[in-house]
Amino acid sequence: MHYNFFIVNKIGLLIYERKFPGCAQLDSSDLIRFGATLSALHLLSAVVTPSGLKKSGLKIISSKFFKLCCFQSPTGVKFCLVSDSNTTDMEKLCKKAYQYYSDYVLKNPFYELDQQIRFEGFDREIEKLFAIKQ
Amino acid sequence: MVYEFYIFNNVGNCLFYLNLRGTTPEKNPQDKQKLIFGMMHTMKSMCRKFSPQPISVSPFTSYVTDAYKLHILETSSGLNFVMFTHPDMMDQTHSLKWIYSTIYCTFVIRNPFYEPKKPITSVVFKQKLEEYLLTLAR
Repeated sequence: MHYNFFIVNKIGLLIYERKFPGCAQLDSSDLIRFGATLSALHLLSAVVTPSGLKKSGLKIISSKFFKLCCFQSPTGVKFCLVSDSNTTDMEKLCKKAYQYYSDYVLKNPFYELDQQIRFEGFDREIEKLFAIKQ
Repeated sequence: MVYEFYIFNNVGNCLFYLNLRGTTPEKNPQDKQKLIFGMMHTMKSMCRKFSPQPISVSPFTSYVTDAYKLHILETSSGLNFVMFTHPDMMDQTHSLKWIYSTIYCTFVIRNPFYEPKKPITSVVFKQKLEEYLLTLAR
């Protein structure tokens, strides 16, 4: 069961968010704060890597009640999915969302980079993607 | 395979640090320890916000990157046990609980010379902890 889906751009601004039934009650300022916090945590987790290992940012945060998967594209855009603890293959879903992002958002001539995403086509595909897996 | 082990108190002071990888020690471990504590604090408050049900104790247990997995146990007294391991390691909450209840309680709390809030200097504690951590496989 999925709770939330977010897209955060490379400077930490939240550019897309989607709530699914059962998610925690969060208002818009919480979500904006979340985007910035996740970017910072992603960077910090690379910095505190034990010495001698290749630095890399965090991928999955596990908790008793939920699992958060964060997939970072090569351009720095982060696709984050919050689901319940039993979900597997969350990274595959995030990668699929990245594919839809490049098809429906980046190829849209009216889209300005790093701005909020407000496209029906993208919403529809995201809805389909996460509804099927539920 | 365990890489590093830290114990922090609720204020952020690092009470104990153990490196099991045998690599050269860093010039300024205090900076890294502060970063780790700050990151843990942020992660815990973020996880609390995201839980569908309201809870009092922090539910955050671990996170994974390509290079390592970080496990954390927060006790009700505010102590944080942080462990860096290989990314494929399973959930280690039970072993952190064992370390707290058996090794820490026996060799630190019951040590009459131990001063609370000061760094842990007991050699026996370090030895027992190292022995236990080396037995932790996948």
